[in-house]
Formats: sequence, structure tokens, C-alpha cells
Amino acid sequence: MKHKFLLFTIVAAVTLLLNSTATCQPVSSSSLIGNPQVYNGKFVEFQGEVVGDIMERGNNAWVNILDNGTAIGIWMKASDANRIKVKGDYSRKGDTVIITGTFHNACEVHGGETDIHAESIEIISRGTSIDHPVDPKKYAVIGILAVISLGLFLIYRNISKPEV
Amino acid sequence: MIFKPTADDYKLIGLYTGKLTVALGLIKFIPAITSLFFREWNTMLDFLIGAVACIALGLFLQILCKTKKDMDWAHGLTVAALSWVIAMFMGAIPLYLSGHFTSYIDACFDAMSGFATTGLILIQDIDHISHGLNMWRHLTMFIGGQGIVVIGLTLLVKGTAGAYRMFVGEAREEKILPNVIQTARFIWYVSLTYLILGTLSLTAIGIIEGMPPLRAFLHGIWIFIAAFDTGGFTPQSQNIIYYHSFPYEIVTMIIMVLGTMNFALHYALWSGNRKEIRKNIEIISLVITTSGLFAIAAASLKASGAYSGVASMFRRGFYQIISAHSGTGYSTIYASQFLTDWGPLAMFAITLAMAFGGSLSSTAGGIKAMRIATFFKAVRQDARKIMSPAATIVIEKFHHIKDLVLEEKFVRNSMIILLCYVIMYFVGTIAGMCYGYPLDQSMFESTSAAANVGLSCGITTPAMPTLLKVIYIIQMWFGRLEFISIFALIGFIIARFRGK
Repeated sequence: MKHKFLLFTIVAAVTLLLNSTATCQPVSSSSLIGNPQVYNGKFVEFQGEVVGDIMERGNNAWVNILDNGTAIGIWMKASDANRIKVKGDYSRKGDTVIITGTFHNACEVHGGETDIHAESIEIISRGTSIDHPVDPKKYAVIGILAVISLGLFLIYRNISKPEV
Repeated sequence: MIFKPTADDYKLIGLYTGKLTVALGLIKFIPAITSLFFREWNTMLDFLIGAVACIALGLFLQILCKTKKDMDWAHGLTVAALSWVIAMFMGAIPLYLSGHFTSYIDACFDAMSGFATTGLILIQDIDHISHGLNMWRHLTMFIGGQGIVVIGLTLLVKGTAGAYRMFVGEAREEKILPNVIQTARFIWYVSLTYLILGTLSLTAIGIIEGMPPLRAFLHGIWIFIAAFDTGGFTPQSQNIIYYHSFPYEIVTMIIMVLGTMNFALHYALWSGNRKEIRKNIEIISLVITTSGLFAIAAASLKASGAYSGVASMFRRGFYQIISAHSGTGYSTIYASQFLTDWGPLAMFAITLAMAFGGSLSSTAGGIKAMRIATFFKAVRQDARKIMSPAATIVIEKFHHIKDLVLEEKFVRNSMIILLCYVIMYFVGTIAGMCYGYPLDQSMFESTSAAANVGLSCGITTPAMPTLLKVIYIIQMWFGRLEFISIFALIGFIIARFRGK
């Protein structure tokens, strides 16, 4: 009986562990938003790039996390938000983070907004700067167009002179 | 008999189109300077290329088309229609050079969407675009909302009778002040005053809600422009959801409503005639349709259980209705949530709100409140005629700035435009269905494009069929100019081949 109970406990523990691992695989933003019946109110793991601004509201903060073209607002502790160093924009790729928390398709606390209330945040990789090397051909195009415009302007001014 | 256009007719159209193209080029220096300020060299070069290309083309057209011929109605309307096409192709240059578009047609789509104050987008990775590009995207809405011709009238075109004809070509029927140049300047005066007030309000809220001051200011000015010009572009991919702010939603709603009001009504209010707001037929019509459609949407949302609380349902539902009805297209829900959460009836209410649109002589699109009211007034007049003795003359009156009598000619003109919109919504719907999209989604997206709204239920993506992109571009163009000037352009082309 004792052995049976031990075996049952081990099987149950392994099953729970496997299940919890399955639900904690990062879920994409499109899956979350497109399947509210599956994820609404569930504890999820969400991974993406921090973009835009960190907007502190008292002891908490809003952080927008971008995943595959769709960003979701994450409501987290301000202290957690302060661990984020790089926010994505034109010149930078933001920190990549994994959020674990509860997904709300229409959060009652936040006026029906779709959000995740974060329990924890893990920074996977720090953001980097994005280079935008200038194509030298663009200078040439501007130069040619500017010369053409100047020539056309001189002709235009000449033909626009009032006839005497 | 159709008269074949002479060389001077073409020259006149080319001359004024050239002037407006130069004006467009000059405006591109604003995003170029923005990029310079933020040291976005690549973007700055993109805008310099775009600006100089516009100036070169504009000057070339003016040299090639020099003429002293006077402008008549057909010329004015044709210039208006043609200018928008050229603005689209030339406005797309810096967009395409940014590398955020998969094809030039996608860049043209966003350029027309901006100029037509629609708000549908095909731009990719919007969260990583430059300040200069964001400035241009929102400026296209300001230019298009004010009217390319209005800008031309203000900057470059001297006051002529032809100026009014181009002005009307941009679906601005009312001469608010006796002189069309004064009218154009009044539109600027109102817009710039609201721009300052709206930008300051949004900037203040942005700062309070946790944004850094400079970004709060930039977002404030861009969001104001796109809300007042009922456009709907935003600097971040999440649209208005990005701000997570109820005050931001309230202020944008107020700006959207201001943007959808007739400039003649603005003038009346600015002149101290406050009673006008209670008597004006367009405002009455807007209040009735907004209330009715919100009631339908609310009933549907309650039935679907999308929002468990009344406050949430009101906040999300009312915002989308105002956004749709004003023709703005700002959204506080994700596009796919129209399908997953809102359900067919609520989507239908949004579709109807988009189809009805805002006021005449505003930046809003759609059929317009005046025409909806005219339709019901005309139906009531006919019903009263049937019920009255044969000799009775039944007069139907309405109030718009002054008391007016509903005339047959006015009803006819209104119903022609109303019918044109319905046909256009229908054509876009059929096109969507031909590509396999369901009826409700096709109707939603087609109406959004044709009524220059910009809400999407998910059809508008870079992966959508190219022909459907072209159809939506044409719908946006037709919808913004309200058909007549485009019919004039088509008439000009037909006359070239069939005229005598």
C-alpha cells in the first residue's frame, strides 16, 4: 500500500510538472488575442521586445512588449519595470524579456483592456543599437535632382517675367 | 455633344497641378528638419529626395504648361482629382525609401490612406520607425484633411475664380466666408488654434501618464493631427491602446468630434452663435445615429459577454462607435477582437457608423450626416404629400446655419452622392468576397476604406492581394473627394477620345 501511494505521488508530480511546463511555454501575442476562450484569465508566459515608453503609474508601470508585429500592454511592478534598460525605437532594439502573469482579454481593472498582469519578469537579452548606414547613392540622387530643379527654376523665372 | 479638350485645357490642368506639386515638395522639408533634429540621417536624405523630386516635377509641369487660359469648373475639379493621384505617388517616395514597405504599391497605399485621412496601414515594424517618418505620416493626414488645394490656395495660388472651383473639387462645398481664400485661411486658423490646444492637452496627459516630455509632445502633436483630421494614424502599432490611459481616450474622443464638425458650424460657434449647436441638422442627425448605433453595439456586446462590466463595455464600445462615426479609425481594441469578441451585430453597427460618416465640409468621410438627414426629411415630405389633399404644397424645412427649405435639387444631389457611396461600399465588398473573405469582414473593410475611416478587422495587411490594395486605394480616393471631381477627370479623359 505504501509503495502504491509513493508510485501514485511520483506519477502525479511528474504529470503536474509536465502540464505546468506545457502551459508555461511562451505564447505568441496573436495566439493570446485570437483565442480568448483558451487564454483569458490563465497564467501565461509571454516573450518579446520592450518597445516605446515605460509609463509608471504609482507603484506599477505599463510596459508594451512586441512579439511578431503585435504588442501587448504588461502591467507590472515599477521595480520590475526599472530593470528594463533599453526600450525599442528607431535607433535601438529593446530588451527581450519573458513575462509570466495572468492574461486578461478584457481586464476589468483596466476598463476592458487586453493586458497581462505580470507576476515576474526575466530579461533574456539586453537591447542593442540599430545601425542605419547611409546609402551614398542617395547623395548622388539628391545632387542630380537639385541641379535639375535649379535649372528648371531659372527657366521658370525667365518665362514668368512680365512682358514689357 | 462632347467638346474635345484643347491643348490649353491640358496646359491649365498641368499648370495648377504643378503648383500644388511644388507646395507638396516644400512641406516635405518639415519631416526632413525633424530628422535633422533627431540625427536620423537616412530618413533626412529620403525626405530631401522626395522634396526635390516634387519641386522638379512641379516646376517642369509649370514650364511645360504655361498658359493664360482662365479656369472653369471642369478644370478646377480635374486639377483637384489629379493632384491627389500625384500627391500619392510623390508622397510615397520617402515612405518607400524608409524600407518599411514590401513594395511601392504598399507605400502608395499608406500615402493615399494618409492624404485621404483614412488610417488603414500596410507599413511594417511601425514601432521602430523614425521620428521624421512619423512626422510625414501624420503630416499627410494634416495635408489631406485640410485639403491639398486648401494648402495650395494658402501658399501659392493667387485668388481667382478658379481657386473656388478647385476648392469644391476637394468636397468642400461651403464658402464659409465670401472669399474662398479667406475661407481657406479660416480653416487654417481654426485648425491651428485647435492644434495648439489639443497638442498641449495630450502632451500634459502624456507626461502625467509617465511619458518623457519630448515624446509626450511628439505623440501629442501626431495624435492630435490624426484625430482632428479624422485620419487615424498613430506612432505605435497598438494604436490608442499603447497609452493605457482613460484621459487620453477622452481627449481624443473630443478631438475626433471637433474634427467631424462642419467648418461652417465651427465658424458659427466661433462667431458667438452657440445656439447653432442645438439646432443644426447635422449635429441632430449625428446625435441620433450615434445613440442608435451605440445602443445596437451595446446590446450585442452585452449578449456576447465580451465585457463583464458596464463601465468597460461603455468605454470600449462608445470609443469605437465615435471613432467609426467620425471617420477617424482610432481604436482601443485589437483588429481581430472585432471578430472574436464583438460579434456580427456589433460589427454591423460599427460598419453602419463608418458608412454614415461625419459632417459636410469637415475632414470626415462617409455619406455624411446632412445627406442621411436629407434622406429622412425627403421621405417624410413625400409621406406628408401622400397624406395631404392634392392641392396642398408640402414644405419641409431644416436648419443649417440658417433656416432652409428642402429643395428638389438639393435632395437630388444628396441622393446621387449617397447612392454613389452605397455602390462603392458594395463594389469593395464584392471584391473582398471574390478573394475569399466572408461577407461581414469584406463589408467592414470596404466601408472603412471608402468612408475614409481606417478601422480594420484584419483584412488589410501587406499579405493581402495586390488588386484588393489597388481597389482600396481607389475607394479611399473616391471617398475623400466625393466622386464629382473624379467624374470630371474621367469625363476629361473620355472627351479626349470621343469629343469633337
